[in-house]
Amino acid sequence: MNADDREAPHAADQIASALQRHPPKLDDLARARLANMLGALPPPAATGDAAESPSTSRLGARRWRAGVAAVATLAAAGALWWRATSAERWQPAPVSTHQRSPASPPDAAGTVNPQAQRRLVQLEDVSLTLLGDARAQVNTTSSSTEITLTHGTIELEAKGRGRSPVVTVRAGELRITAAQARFAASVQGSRVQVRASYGEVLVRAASQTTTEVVTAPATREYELAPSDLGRKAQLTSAPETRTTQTKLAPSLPQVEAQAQAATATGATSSDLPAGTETAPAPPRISPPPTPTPTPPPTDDAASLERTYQEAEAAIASGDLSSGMRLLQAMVQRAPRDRRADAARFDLARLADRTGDVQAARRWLGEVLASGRDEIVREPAHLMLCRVLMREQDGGATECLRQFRREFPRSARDGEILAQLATREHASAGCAAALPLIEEYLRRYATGTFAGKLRATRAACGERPL
Amino acid sequence: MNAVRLMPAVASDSALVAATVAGDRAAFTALYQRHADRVFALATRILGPVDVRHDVLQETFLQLHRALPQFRGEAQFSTFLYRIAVRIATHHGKRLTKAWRRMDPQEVDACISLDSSALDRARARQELEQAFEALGTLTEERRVAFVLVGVEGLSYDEASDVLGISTDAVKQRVLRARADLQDHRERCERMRRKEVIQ
Repeated sequence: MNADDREAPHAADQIASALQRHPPKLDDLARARLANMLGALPPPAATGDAAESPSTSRLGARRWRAGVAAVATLAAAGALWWRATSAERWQPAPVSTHQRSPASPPDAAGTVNPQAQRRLVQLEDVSLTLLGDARAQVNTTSSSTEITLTHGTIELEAKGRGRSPVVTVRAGELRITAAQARFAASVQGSRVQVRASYGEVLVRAASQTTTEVVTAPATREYELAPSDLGRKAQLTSAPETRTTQTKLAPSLPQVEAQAQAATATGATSSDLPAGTETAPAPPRISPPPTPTPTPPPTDDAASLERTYQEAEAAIASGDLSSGMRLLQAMVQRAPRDRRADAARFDLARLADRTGDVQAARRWLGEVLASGRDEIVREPAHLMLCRVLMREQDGGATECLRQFRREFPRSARDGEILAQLATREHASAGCAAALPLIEEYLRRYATGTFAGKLRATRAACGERPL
Repeated sequence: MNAVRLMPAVASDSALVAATVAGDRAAFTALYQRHADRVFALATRILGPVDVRHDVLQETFLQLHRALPQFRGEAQFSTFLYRIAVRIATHHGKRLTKAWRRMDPQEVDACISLDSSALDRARARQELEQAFEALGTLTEERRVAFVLVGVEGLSYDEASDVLGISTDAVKQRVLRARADLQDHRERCERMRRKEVIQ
């Protein structure tokens, strides 16, 4: 090895450096699609087969491998025995995998349900099961669990040790609390049904001062006033329905409610936070919700989904014109559907790819103007900024600023911040750029643009931190 | 000194995990948005710039979603995530040995910043192609260890947690990977000299 070789950096260091300087970038559309899919996943099951799925749970992998080994051993032993006892009729013994099949075992009520229709969430003192398309939001504190039920049926088992409630279910203006009880709550439109199968459940409306005690086994049904008629809830108690069933069934029987209107006029809703009837606010730690709730699926949903799949297939096969035609048809057919936003974004990408920048900007503008889904809005906004930068449009800097305001938790924040700092430095000088540079270096000290921005800061004469 | 604009507080990974387990879908999406790039980069570095990286990314987050209830916070979340990602990437990698050299130029280009000049882009492309080619000559075990420690910047202990092997074993793999990469470069240079002479 000569002197030059000794001075040359090690090959491994050069490779590592090259890979670090050019990090692979995930395509925005791929990112958005996967985010969309992951966002639709039901809450992860704390227990049960779903968490132990052999193909998906890493932590269950050893158990799964052990199970497979056991099944394989048994199968092999069975095959040998079969072969030894009946050589003429010998056939390879099938390895059974039904133990891990998606079919769920009978539930507590003895009814077999498809697993997809029951989602179990195990909390500190509460077992929560969401049935079918139930929509609920869970907020836990150190002492209790609060569940906001907006649609469908949930089953709960509260395992409190004292009388203080460990779980509160908010359904419209109703507040249902329990300490040691098993019950189900169901919201269908303006109807709320509470069915207690064990213990006592307390039901109270914000607009009434009295609390109704539902002692198991019993079922109550309540009618809520539509939210647009004001926040005065009508608590309508149905006659008590005694039942011998002690376990919760997956679907609740219909109870004939005899409405006894008890409109409370003077009561206030101080017991409930404002906006209880609207989409509930998420926990502080999570990103903000979409501006408006997703509309319920329509009959057309499956057809739209099919069209979208056909468009994707056409684009993947290189038939861009067919793909664009299908996407445009989707947008025209259901302009307010969330799939239409994805279609608009795809159309923008295709237009940009084919060099039609104006069309791309128009489609992106539509997504930003009407798009309700942040998962599509974020990449659309990012793409618009990139298009503007590429076109050297004067609005690019404002686009970047707006992106940061609207998506402060974006994974692309570092990149956007660096772009913004660079552009500010070029157009407005050091005074405008330095705060942004400092922020970048504080938040992304080892980021891709850190070296470049440090150099800019040094050029501006600012001492490093 | 100019005032620094403060960004809103960002929830910790543990808080997002807890919220996801409690049923908050947005929390899991936030976890995904935060870590997708790292997982994608890791998959690229282990497998090369091939299309299957997207499958690895998807499978990693699906498995993560199901495994989250078992995450007790004893290890760092990133270690937990890396463990899943490495396992899935190596699973896919076993079927990709021959595909290593068939890099998709577009996928390599996607790694390069659009803001750089044409000359810089060409240089970056060459660097990346050489880097991926060299990584492709390593055995899978050494490549993964080198990527985790040398590229991703994990400590030997962290890599040991991710790979489920001893720290000494990680060190050994990394050292051998480095030696292999150096050998590979020297071989390439010898070949180049021969070509020049001929």
